[in-house]
Amino acid sequence: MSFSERQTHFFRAFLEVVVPEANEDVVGVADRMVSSKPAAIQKKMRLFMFVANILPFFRFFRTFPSLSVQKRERFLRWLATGPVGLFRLGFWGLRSVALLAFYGDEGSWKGLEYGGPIVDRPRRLDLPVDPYDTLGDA
Amino acid sequence: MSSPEYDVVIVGSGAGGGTIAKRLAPLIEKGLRVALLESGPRYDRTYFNQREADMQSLFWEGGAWLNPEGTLQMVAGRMLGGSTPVYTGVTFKLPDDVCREWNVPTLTVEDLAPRFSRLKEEVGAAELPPERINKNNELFAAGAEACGMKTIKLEINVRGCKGYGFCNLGCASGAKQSTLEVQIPSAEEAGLEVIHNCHVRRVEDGRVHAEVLRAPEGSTPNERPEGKISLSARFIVVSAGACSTPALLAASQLPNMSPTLGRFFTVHPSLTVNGTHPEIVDSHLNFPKAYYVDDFSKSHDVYLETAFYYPGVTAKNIDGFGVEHLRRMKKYRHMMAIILLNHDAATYENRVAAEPGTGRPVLEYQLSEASIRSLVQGQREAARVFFAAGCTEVYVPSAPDGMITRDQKDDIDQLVTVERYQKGRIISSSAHPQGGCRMGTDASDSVCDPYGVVHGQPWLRVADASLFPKSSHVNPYLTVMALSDRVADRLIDDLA
Repeated sequence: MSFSERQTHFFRAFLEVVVPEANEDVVGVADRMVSSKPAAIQKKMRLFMFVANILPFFRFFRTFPSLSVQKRERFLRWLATGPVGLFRLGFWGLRSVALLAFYGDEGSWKGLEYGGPIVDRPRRLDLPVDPYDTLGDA
Repeated sequence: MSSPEYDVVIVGSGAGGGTIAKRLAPLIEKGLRVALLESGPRYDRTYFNQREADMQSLFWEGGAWLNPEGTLQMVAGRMLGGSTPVYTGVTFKLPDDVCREWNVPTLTVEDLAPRFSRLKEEVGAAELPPERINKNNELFAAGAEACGMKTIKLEINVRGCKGYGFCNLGCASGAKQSTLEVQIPSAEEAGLEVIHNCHVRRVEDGRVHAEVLRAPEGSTPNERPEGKISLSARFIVVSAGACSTPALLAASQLPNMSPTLGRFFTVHPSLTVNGTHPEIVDSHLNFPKAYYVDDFSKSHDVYLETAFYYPGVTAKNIDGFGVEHLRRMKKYRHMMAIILLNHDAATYENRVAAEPGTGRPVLEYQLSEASIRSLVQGQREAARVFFAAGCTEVYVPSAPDGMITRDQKDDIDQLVTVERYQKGRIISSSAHPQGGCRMGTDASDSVCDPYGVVHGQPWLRVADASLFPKSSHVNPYLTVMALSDRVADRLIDDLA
């Protein structure tokens, strides 16, 4: 498990706006995807989620998950196209995770009338080792 | 820690390392001791299940290796075969004018021509038969020709392609003539020793320091125990690709290295854009790439090629989020796709560095204003092709809300603008890293000589795209093989 309880809460609220059709399974897929990233990338994603979670408090006196869907959407549009490059980067990066988790998984394929793989082969869920995170100093 | 002895250790198993291994095969049969080390696992073709969520494991950093400024994500294979099992099979020879522009002594059009012919034969590179060309490609050709563009057929390195598609997730039938299928098995038959999951941390004169990592489930088990390993070798050939080779050399802290180590790194920044057609296109079926257009190469440094991506990557490439994004994605089966490739300038500032301590490659690449202008022009030209092919909506990220409708098709140049290429929001991708160990004659402005010998280190050779002094303009696979063939020539002479 990569997401903490607070991060999971944030990501669910994010997903509700960004990919409205996503269900709870997508949270688990996204969590797995994030956990396979190098430690430094995971740290940046967590930092973005922390900032995006509390930033609305300074305007709406509520954290991100406590906002209405409309206000969450307005806030995310500001992050997505606003003047702060790091916020844009964080938003579009987390959006990529959400979209890959949703559309990369067969739960979404029926809605697209997409038949999925041509070959019938087992799932491959074991992730390789990132050598740079695993090993010590060169 | 074990310490076997080899004549040659090859680090990396992609187009460069595979070519070296195959060239050494006749000598291996006669007793030359050669090991090929690959950081990634060994998968065979039955591992490739065409599911993008699962197959992220085939790539460094899950297929999204970001530069620090967040404008580019590198896609590089991490398995036996390097990137060759997961690229589309496009096989270009280096254009003659680019070869002359490189201006590397002895590297001439005449020197390369017979190598290209032989190597193309080896990997079966040819135009696709008509039955392999899918609807996306047919529509692209019709649209481009209606716009007055000249479409050219790509040469693809497949033998007996069954049209399974999903080529960028590994070829499920083994038809793609990657080093995993061709060069490595051939050299293994001769006696090459392959050590997969073997991550090299440092090289020095006569020695390679590495570590054998855990083999993931479903991959070929390790023959050696996990843990540190040290191999002695007369010659070391580093073929870890243009992201990893410069970083490995930097992490090795070799004496008297050129100040250009890691520099002049280019990537062919690219964008994949889509248009929705009234008819079902199903661009994921059959072979995804058959045509390209180079009409804008000289004027705007950009190529247009046909493309295909699965739903997750397509969703990521299409601008927006929420209900409107969902509406666009519902048309997935109607989508055409074009990839735009910019041949970017090689500059001293763009480089690959090694992270202190770990040696992890850091891609210190800044997307230039010139590249942004190229990618914007590419989006405009792709939009014209989509509409000429009959599309009703076009999704290009530098348009307002990332979309142009058919009734706006006469305003493409006004709608798709450089100002709307917002960094951070638009992330280009790259599968063609080049440079970082550029060839030349002088150590003050190059890392290797024209035959891949690292200046001042006669025991150390480089054989991959990091040798390129500037962009190759075209997909680099065959050029990497041809340069590696030259590296093998010199190595074989030196072994004698």
